[in-house]
Amino acid sequence: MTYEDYADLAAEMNILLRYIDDELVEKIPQKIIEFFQDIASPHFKSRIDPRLPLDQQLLLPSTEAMLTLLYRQYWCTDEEREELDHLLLEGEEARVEQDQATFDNIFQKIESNEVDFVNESDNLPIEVQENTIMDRIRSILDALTELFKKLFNKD
Amino acid sequence: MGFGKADIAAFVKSRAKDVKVSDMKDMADVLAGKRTLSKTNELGNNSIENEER
Repeated sequence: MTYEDYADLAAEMNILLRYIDDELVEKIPQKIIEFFQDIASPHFKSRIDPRLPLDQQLLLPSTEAMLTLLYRQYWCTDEEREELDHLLLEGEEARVEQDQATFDNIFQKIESNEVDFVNESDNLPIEVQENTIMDRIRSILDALTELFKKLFNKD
Repeated sequence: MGFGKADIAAFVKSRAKDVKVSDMKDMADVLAGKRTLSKTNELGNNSIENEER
């Protein structure tokens, strides 16, 4: 993501935080709130309508990701975090499968055109590869928790 | 009345499969100051500096 992406994200988060319950906002470290305030784009045009429920808001995808990060780190219980991580991993798995299907499709097209091409992917241990990716994603999620604990623990 | 935890929980769960963990990690790194952001330069290229502190 670019600086400009973050500036838009920060601007939208500043607006969204006005409509989030105070008790939840108070759990976010001040440094993060200040980061949003510091880099927020003055030109961003919000589409947030406080009269609508959250699931009907037209938020930036990056705002959805940030909300997920904040929920995971500051607002949910351990059980809820496990449930969320499970959903996040399912999404990652679906993308890996989709990428694999795309690659397979490309190879099929190459083969159907009788292009002289050695399909080296046949030799790759796909399952092992996918497991490695999922293990890496799990470790990233664990690392996120630790990172926030170290840097932003308010207690 | 604002958005409460139940609203956010439902929203986050409904979007979770579309959220990339790599994006969340990038955001965490930026928030933690492990990666600094630079504005787009004159050539239109975005310059991002990696800093491991």
